[in-house]
Order: sequence, then C-alpha cells, then structure tokens
Amino acid sequence: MEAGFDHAVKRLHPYLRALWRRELLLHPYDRPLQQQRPYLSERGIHLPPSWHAGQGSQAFTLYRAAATHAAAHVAYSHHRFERRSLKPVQIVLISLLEDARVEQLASYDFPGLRRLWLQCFPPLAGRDDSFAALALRLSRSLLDPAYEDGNPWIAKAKRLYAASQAGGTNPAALREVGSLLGNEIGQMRLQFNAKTYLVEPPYRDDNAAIWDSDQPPSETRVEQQELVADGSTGGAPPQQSPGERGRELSAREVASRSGEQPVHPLARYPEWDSRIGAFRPHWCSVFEPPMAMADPAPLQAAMARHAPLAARLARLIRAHRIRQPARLRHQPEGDRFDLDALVDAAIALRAVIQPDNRVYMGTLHEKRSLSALVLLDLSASTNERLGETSMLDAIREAAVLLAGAMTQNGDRYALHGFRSSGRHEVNYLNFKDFNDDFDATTLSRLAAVRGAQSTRIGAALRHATRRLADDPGSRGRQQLILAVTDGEPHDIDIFHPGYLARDAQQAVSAAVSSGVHVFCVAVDRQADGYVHTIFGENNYLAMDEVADLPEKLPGLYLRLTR
Amino acid sequence: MMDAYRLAAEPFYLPVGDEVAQFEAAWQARLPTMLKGPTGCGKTRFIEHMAWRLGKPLVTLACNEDMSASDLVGRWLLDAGGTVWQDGPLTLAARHGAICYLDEVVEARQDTIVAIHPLTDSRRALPLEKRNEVVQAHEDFQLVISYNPGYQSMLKDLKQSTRQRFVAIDFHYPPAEREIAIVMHEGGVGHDLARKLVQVGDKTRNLKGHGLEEGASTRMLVYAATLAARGIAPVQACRMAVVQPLTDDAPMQAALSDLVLTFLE
Repeated sequence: MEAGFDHAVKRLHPYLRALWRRELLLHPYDRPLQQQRPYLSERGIHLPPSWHAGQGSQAFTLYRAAATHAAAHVAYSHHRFERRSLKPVQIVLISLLEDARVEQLASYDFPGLRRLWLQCFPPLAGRDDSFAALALRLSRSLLDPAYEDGNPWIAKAKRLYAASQAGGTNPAALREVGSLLGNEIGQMRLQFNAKTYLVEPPYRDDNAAIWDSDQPPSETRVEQQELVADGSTGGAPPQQSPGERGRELSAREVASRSGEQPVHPLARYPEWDSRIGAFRPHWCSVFEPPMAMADPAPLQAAMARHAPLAARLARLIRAHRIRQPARLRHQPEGDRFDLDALVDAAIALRAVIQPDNRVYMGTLHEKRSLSALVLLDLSASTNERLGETSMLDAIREAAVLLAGAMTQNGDRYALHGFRSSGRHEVNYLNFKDFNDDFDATTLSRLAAVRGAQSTRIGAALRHATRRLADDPGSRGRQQLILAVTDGEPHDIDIFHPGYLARDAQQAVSAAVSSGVHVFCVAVDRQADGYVHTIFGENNYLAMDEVADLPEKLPGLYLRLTR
Repeated sequence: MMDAYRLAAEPFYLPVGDEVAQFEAAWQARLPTMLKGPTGCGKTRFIEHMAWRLGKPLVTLACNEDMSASDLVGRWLLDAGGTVWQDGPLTLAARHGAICYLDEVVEARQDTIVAIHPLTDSRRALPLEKRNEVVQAHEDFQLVISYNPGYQSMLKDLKQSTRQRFVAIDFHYPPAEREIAIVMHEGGVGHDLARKLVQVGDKTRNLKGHGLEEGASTRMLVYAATLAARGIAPVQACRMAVVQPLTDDAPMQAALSDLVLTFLE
C-alpha cells in the first residue's frame, strides 16, 4: 500500500471532516528539507511528503495520528501561551503538557484516538534517563492511564498535571506546572539542547502555533510585498485582496497574448445589484469570441490514460439503459401478453366482433429526451497547478469524458465555457454547440484554451439559459445547465463580497423558473457557502480533489439524469 | 375484507418530537400527508405505528418507475366467466377505508402520480373511467406519501401541482439519546455499543455532500447492531452494514473504516 502524502490526504480529508465537521486543509511541508515535524499554519495542517519511519499501513498510521493530533489542537488549543521569560526547556515542557491536554480531550470525544496515538510511541527501551527519554515517557504516561513509570520526576509531573486540571480543563494552569518541572530538570543537571531537540513521537507537531508570536508566518508576508511592488496596475481601483489583483493582471496579459480578443457584444444582460436591491439593466456585455485551435495530441494522450475509466463509464451507461425499459403496448408480437389488450380481445370474441390481435407487450430502451449545456469556468485560477495536474487539465479531461457519456446516451448537448474581465467583457466560449458533433475541432478548441480572467458567472448563466431557449432542438426536452467551477465568483470591477454570488443566484432562479435545471460542480473545499447561496440545496456537489473531477463529473451526470 | 392489512402487533416507534400529535390532527381531518425525510430515518415505521395506533388497515405500495396508473387504480382481468374488475391498492384503500401509503413516491412516473390527484382534494373521489365508476372515498381513507428531499435527480422531483396537495411532517435522524434507544431496542445490543454505533453514524452524516450522498441512516445502525448481536465483531459489523453499503469509493471506504476504528475496537 502506498503511504505518501497524496494517498494519505485522500483518506484523511473525509475522515477529519467526519470527526470535526469542519474543513481542515492538509498540505505538504513548504520546505521539506528543513522541516522535520508537522506544523500548523493559517492555511491548515502541514504534514511531511513521506514518512521514512514506517512503510505501508504503519506510515499511514503516522499520518492519521499527526492529522488528528494537529486537528485536536485546532479544536481545543484556544489559549496562546506567552514566552516572556521562559527558558527553552520550560517551553518544551509546557508544549508537552498542552499536547497531553488536547489529546485527553480528543480521546474523551473519540476513544479510538488514544489507541492510535499510543501505537506511534516507540517500544520501551531500558532505563535511559536523558531529558528526551524522560519527556517521551512523560508523554506516554499522560496519555496511557495503564502505564506506570517509576521515575520520581515523571510521577511528580503526572501529579501536578492532574492537580492543575482537576477543576476542569485549564490550559493556563499548565504554564506554572511546566515552569516548575523545567526548573527541576535544571536541578537534575540534565542536558537539554534547544537547537537539536525534536518533539517525540514524530506525529506531534512543533507546537509553534500555541505560542504567541510577533511575526506572522512568513509566506503570506512575502507574497503581499511582491504584489505591492507590482506597478503595472495603472489606474485600476483597489481589489478585494492583493492576491486577486495579481492574478487578474497576469490573466489579462495571457488573454491578449493568446489572441482571444473579443469581437462585438452579442448580448447585454441585466445584473442584480444586491446593494440597491434592483436589476441594473443592460449591465453586462457578453461576447462569443472566435475560438483558437491547437494540436489536440497532448489532450488525446491525456485521454488515453483515462481509457479504463471511459470503458467503465460505457459499461455503466449500457447497464443503466437496460434497467430503463419502456413498455410498448398493443404489439403484434412480443415476449409477454399485454393483459389489457388480451382482455379487450376476449371481450371482442364474446361479443362476436373481430378481435384486435395485437395482444403482446414489448420493451424498448426508453428514448431519453434531455438537452444539456455544460458551462466550464475558464478563469485564471484554473491554471493553478495542484500536484501533477492543473484544474484546467482536469476540467478539460472531465469535459471530454462527459461528452463521451452524453454522446453514448444519445443526449443533446453543448460544451461551453466562460470568463470575464469586468462587466463590459464577459467572454462566452463555444467548444461544441448543440448541432455540432464532438470531433477533432472540439478537441482542438479544448486543447487551445488557457485559463484567464475572472468568473462573472451570473452573466454567463443568463447567456447559457438564452442559448438553451434559442436552440430549436432543445424544445420539449428536459433542459439542464451543468456548471463546473473552481471558486467563488469574482471580477476586477467588483469589490463587494457576495455581490456576484447574489447576482448569480438571481440568474439561477430565472433559469429555473423558465424550466431549466441548473446544477453546479464546485472543486473547492470552501465551496459550501457560496455554491449553496447560488444554486440552492441539493443542486450542487462540492468536491475536494481536482484529480477526482474526470471520474466524478460523468458519474454525477448519469446520476442526475437517471 | 381489509383484515389482511391490519397490523397484528404494535410496531416499535420512539417519537422524536411532536410528530404523533401532528399526524393525529392530520388524520382527524383526513388531510393527505407527506412524510419528508432522508432514507432510513423511520418514515415507514412511523406510518405503521400510526396505523396500529389508530386501529386502521394500512395499504403500502413501494413506488417504482414501471408502475402505471392501472397498478394503482386497478384493471380488468379475464377469468372463466368473463372479465372481472380487480381493484388496485389505491382503489382498495379508498373503497374500504384504509391508510394508503405510497413509499418513495418520486420513483413513480408523473403520469402515474396524477392518478392520486382527485383523491387529494375536496372531492375525495377516485374516478375509474375504465369501469365507468366513481369511487367515493370511505370516511377512514387517508393518503400518505413518503418523500426524500435530499434525492439528487433532476428528472425525479415532485411537481408543485402534487406537492401542494399535501401537508408535510418533517423527519430527521433522531437525536443521539433517542437513536441509542432505538438501536438498543431494534438491534438487541447494550447501551455502550449502541452509543458507539450512533456516534459513528452521526459522524458519517458530516460527509453528506462531501463524498457521500447520504450519511448512515438509523436503519443501517440497527443492522450493524443486529449483526453484532449475532456474534459479528462490532468493527466488522460496521463494515458490513455501514461502510460497504455507503460507498464504493476506495479512499472514502478507508476513511470510514478509520472512523469506525475511532469509536470501536
């Protein structure tokens, strides 16, 4: 069994979510060569890219122990300790006691965690009374009620800890206990080197997060400074956050370089302004720029990797069809009697009139009548690389697989995309229209597309609704808009949080009231809030792993339309 | 005639809130009633319990896609003497006075569901055009449907014209203490194991919409307890009754197994 970070994360995300009902994001170390213990940052929990200590399930046990221990800090470590005049050994001991406290609380809620953490302790060695060995044995004796240690310092530590927590859990009281124990270590003349000391067992994080720190974590700082130095903004108004602005600008450059210049606006749509509670008429201009083409070979190569998945989908669709028979009544031949027709015939015979001999029943694979418009988010954020793949790659591959499933199903469908750069330039991209076949042109168009600009999804949804309404072949069919996005709507001229989401919500309800089903797949761990606002209960699927998109999207489509 | 549809013994049902009083009020006015809630939270058991409590026969019909209006209303059959009319379950309940329970009504096709409309408004009558008869509903007749609002399928949803004919009683998974009592009673296990199973179930519900279509239902937990009571190790019982049925996705199964191990050993 693999036990690298990527594998572990897939299994741990749902696990942590189930336990704590909150989004705990797991990341690999930022600097794996220097960092030796898990740590918490404002981005989430950081775990090693691999664990050398163990193989297979043993390494996964370490990952699970590390993730749950760090999550226990997130859940229960709300007290920030101040360093002030504490000596390093005292800081280490206070951290150790705080570890014990959160583990105790977590084991109370989740009894299996105690067993899990104990598995990560090394087997007991002989009497080694170095500081590191004493600290490790103290950790064990605080976690494992069955463990008895003869050492008087440990016995005292255990007693003091228990006394400090006797009146209910109390992180602040640990400071005094830790200071006292640290002084004793000094009196015992035990060596302690703060430079080389590493917290043990290795699943425990470095505990930097529980200490007050004057300096915020470095990575966010650096990013902001770089962006302030970026002088190419011209007269552009300030954005919600510097990070957003940097992305948009580069997106524009990408767009102008790739030659996807807009032509004249195809349509203008109103936009809902939630601040004034009214529609702003003719607010957004939608363009359908000519589509660039590129060599589809890399995309085809990527699709070849998905061949087993495509085959599985094809099987699923066939099986699905067989389970959906339509009854044909009054057939001249068939495998069963049509009871009603038979009775009619018998009545006719008795009444001495010519009976209708079509008394059989047949089955036919039901002709589906569905018209679907797939609307892909192609904003700059889809370029972000996540491990081996980018969001854009995943969207493209998912779109091709989905198109295969739709074709096989006999559904009428279009593959469209969108991006925006302010309300005067909402670009609506047409990879395959309802009447087109899915062919080399479609693949070339998909292969050529790059993520750029922003996500003004409301205008795109309005245009998609119109495209469905304008398609004569879609009349009389069930109509579906399936949107795929990777983040909250944003645009360069919008500074008001939630504005675009509320506009999109209006666009969705307009589509729904005109009889179009709207469903969204959001590849974003924090999607719940805004996707729920826009699309409503049961009309969205929030997904954690980009890599799962090619597999999940066609599956979702089949489930949705079964 | 309807004796076969009467419940012989009291079906176990532990009320969670006010639903018994709500249903009794709806019953007194014979209002068509919709039981809304996720799968396996006790809707069917509730209606059985209420039928027993009110002393009325209960005609249950599990809806499916292939069901036609004739399957509900009835059809002509052929016998030695000629043709005979056979009442469908809906007609049977309307004619003789029973609670007619249509389970998972969204599974039925729209043209089938329309057959219940005349019974659900002030007419309370069922026209049988094939037989040229209008069945006036018996005074004890009541129509009850069950409906899972979390079902994600655009082609299967109740039309407004159907929904608006019903009053609705909302069902959820019971609160922990009640659910423990249910699992103990139905599964035949002790309080300690029941509590752990309920904890596992409760945590899986945090994953609804995050990899799982639904969390573990009370029914699943009862099944797990039932298996454990018959000598299967609790962890294995959870794998059989909860983990495997919930998902086919390998990482999700692994995560759920980890979850089980967090509460059971």
